[in-house]
Amino acid sequence: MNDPRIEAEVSLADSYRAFTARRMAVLAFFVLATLTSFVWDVATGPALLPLGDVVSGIFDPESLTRAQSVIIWDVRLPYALMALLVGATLGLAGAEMQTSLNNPLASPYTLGVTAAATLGASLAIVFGIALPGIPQNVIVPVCAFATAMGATGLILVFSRSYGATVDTIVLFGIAVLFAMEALVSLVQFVADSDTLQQIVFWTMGSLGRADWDKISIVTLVFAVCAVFSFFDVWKMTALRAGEDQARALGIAVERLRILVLVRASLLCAIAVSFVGTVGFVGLVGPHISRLALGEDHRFFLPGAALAGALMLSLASLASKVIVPGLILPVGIVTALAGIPLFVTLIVLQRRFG
Amino acid sequence: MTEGLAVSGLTAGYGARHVFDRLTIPAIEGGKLVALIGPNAVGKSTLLKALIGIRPVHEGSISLFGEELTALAVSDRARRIGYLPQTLPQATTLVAYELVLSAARAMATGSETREAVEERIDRVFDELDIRELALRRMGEMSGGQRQMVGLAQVLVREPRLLLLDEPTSALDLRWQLRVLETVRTTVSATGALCLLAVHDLNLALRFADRVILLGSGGLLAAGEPTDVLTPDLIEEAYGVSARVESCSLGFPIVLADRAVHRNTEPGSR
Repeated sequence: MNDPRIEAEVSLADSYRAFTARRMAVLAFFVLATLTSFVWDVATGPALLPLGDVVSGIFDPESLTRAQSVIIWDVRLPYALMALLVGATLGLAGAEMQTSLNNPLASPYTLGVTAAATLGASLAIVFGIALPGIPQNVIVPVCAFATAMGATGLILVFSRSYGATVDTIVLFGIAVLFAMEALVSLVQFVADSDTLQQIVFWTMGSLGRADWDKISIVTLVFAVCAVFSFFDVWKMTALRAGEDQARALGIAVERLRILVLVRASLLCAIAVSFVGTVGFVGLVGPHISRLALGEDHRFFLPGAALAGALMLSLASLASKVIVPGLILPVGIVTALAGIPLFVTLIVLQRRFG
Repeated sequence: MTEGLAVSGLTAGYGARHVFDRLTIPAIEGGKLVALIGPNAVGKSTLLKALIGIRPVHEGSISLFGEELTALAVSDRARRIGYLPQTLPQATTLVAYELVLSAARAMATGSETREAVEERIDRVFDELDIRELALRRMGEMSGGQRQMVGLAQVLVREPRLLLLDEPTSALDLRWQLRVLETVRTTVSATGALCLLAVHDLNLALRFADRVILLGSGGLLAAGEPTDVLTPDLIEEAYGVSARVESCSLGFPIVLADRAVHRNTEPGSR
């Protein structure tokens, strides 16, 4: 059973370089597709601006009229950029969670981070929480972020006491998830119809809340987490061989798992706090990357971030064109598009391994 | 004689339960392949895990080529020790080359050039005769092939001490011989030392320079294979009536006749 890709006289390193060159090509394709989707997203909207004007307006804002400038720079660009960033954030967080929990069904939401964020947002909306020094327009994301990180802290405390094994973290995560959902229901129960509507709208996930400040914050958090992820790529790849194998290499698996958990929760919390619940990206993005690029984390992690960015960018585009003249909450579109995509991927994976 | 490995007064186990108490193994010099044998649950795997540092050592000392290991962190021990766990590498979408590359890179200090790492990987795939597996996904391999890749992960790190826990459990006859020949050649060429936990007594007799026999009470015997694998010691350790005879090529072989009734549960100490 000779592998035609491996010739006796060529070194394995050269054969492997040819193999990785194809992966670089796939990554380049992902980048191109994401950029195309981004430009298309910026060029799409109820104002029907010509594509040429939009593109030249991005590079040369002086060429735009005042109205066009507001539409492109204050509405469409933040909206489209936030789609890319949140998609990339959830894709990266999902990939790291799946590896660290050794479970392809794990996602940034597995451990109740989103449910906790929803609780924080609901509390802020229903009880009109005001915190000194924090502007009222960001109180909802601040509360959502605080409860999301609080929930992560709880899981970390449990994990410290009982060991950060996959079982411990998933079990405590599910317990936190159910507890948070129960508390959200309780808050919804005492809410009046007006605030209840606001909570429901918040949970649908909307890019309409994007602005440049939020984009800067998400970019910063993503960049910092991505740097730490980059330092762990070999450990994460080694962990895919199995926990025993990773330990044998001297990797402190539980410590790595906790670091990943903190990173993924931070990424997820910051994304969800600003745009609300966006389903499936964190689950399906890593699967797309795994199918296209394998699990060498040097390719898998950027691939998952790009696949997430592409998915949410396309969802953002779809949210504007499905009902002309109306922008649907992106969370609805992502979940609807995500389900058939997810099922197709499972079928493909079964068939082609 | 350069002392390779010396274990003295070692107590280790799971939490409060000690699998062995104050185990002392006579010093073994470098360049030797040592078979670690004994019935189920006497602590063969636990001993290997205690040596690499995955299982905590409650007391005792482990000296490897003159260096005390118990004072070192697991990550530092792993730079000196290659450990092959009993479980096979997972069936993932990673290709074999990536698995071996990650083993070489994961805890590397970064002083080695890329070319040097690639050269080592190339050599290990050649030594184990698994070049054709290099770009195949782990998920598409048989258990035996994954076991070979696991072994490549250990060898690529060029450890001073190899701890192999049942490295031939998933391999057919040809590959069992091939693997043990490779390991023996490697240790005798490099002066490293290999501790091989194995159930097949004939493989131990055939390949090991030394044999360590563990029983439920700790060390039963250690020494030359033919001195340790005697009918009396085999019966004492395993509860099996056995003969040790010479095959037509002159190698000793163990022939197990029947289980001797003893009041013990399977797998109990």
